Amino acid sequence: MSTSPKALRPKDMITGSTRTSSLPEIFIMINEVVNDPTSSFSDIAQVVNLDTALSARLLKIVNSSFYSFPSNIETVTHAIAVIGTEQLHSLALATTIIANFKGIPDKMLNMNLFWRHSMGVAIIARNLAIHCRETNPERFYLAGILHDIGRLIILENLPDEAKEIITRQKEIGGVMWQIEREVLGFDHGEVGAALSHSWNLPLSLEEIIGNHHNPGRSKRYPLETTIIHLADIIAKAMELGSSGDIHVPPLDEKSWEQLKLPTGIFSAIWNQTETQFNETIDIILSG
Amino acid sequence: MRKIRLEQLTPGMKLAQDVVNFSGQVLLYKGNPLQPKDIKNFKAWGVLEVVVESSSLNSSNSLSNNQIDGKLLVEAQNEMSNLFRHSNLSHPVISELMRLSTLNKLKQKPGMENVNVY
Repeated sequence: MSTSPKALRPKDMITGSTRTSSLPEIFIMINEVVNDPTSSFSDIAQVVNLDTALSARLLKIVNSSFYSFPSNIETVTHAIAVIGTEQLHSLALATTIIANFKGIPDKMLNMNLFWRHSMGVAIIARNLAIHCRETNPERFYLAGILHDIGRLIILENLPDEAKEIITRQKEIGGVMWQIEREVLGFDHGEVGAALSHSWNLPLSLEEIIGNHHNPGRSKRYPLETTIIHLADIIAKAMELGSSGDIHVPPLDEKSWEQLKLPTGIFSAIWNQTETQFNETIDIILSG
Repeated sequence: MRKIRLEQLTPGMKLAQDVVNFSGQVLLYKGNPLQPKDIKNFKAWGVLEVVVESSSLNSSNSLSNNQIDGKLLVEAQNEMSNLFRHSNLSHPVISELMRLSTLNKLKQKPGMENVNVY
């Protein structure tokens, strides 16, 4: 990149990269068929079946302890009928996104560890949402998968600056998103929000991703943003994978109070997450 | 009086506060000694913490349990203090997460696999 990074805006990086300029095709197709009110479960299944890797992974996930259904689910149609189209949507996006970002050099950031962190946040956020009695906990799963996506985009588009950020944290210390702001003028949250915007994902996702280190700044979705903020901290404490940040980011204490959760739930969340993480991680990251 | 987690309850402990469910219904009044069926009942109602009389606590429940190797514990604690260096350690969320992560770290150390987490 020849332009000065100070003058660069987060959205410039999105439009400049083929990887991020458009959503994976299979996702668009699933999106269309799910949003079409005349679609039946078997219409949706037909689209999912076009991507054999996706459908195989989907069946493995619905049969894992993550959902713990009493009987074996053998067809995609059956899977959609039991987990619902919303869940299918999240799972399909999660698996296609991970596939889409394949091939980013591992030198600066181990991709396997990166996705393990994102998946950890996704699972913890979903469990926290269930404890908060939030409707449709699956949407938190998607937000978790995507929350740090901006970091990958920075890494790919501005490798020199990305390297400087990582070295600076190692040598001088400090909070990673704050170092990003010093070096780039913006942080990975803002880049992720710009991606979410250009992919036409729900507005809630854009706001959650953009503010996950500063949930107090989220105007319309403070609770959702705080859940991802907290899930990020818990995933770091559990040492599930690595986002490239070597420390637990600071907690926004005011936002935490809004959740009205007792700290006693953490040991329950910890145990639930460990089981679900170990069962699903290899399925999602393989192939 | 001390607030403790459900996993740490043992029969015979004395309640210092009423235990209520999410709608405020009393499951057991204070002053009652706990019976095994009470603990089961709390679990069924999703109770996470109860307040018991300090005098009824037995010391083997604490983190510095004698089966834990003190040197390894200090090692785990140091590793976690580095991980949490940007956190406010006196905040209840962080201190609980640090407690859990220290035990998690400790369990990964040789000979500590079966350490009692609670």
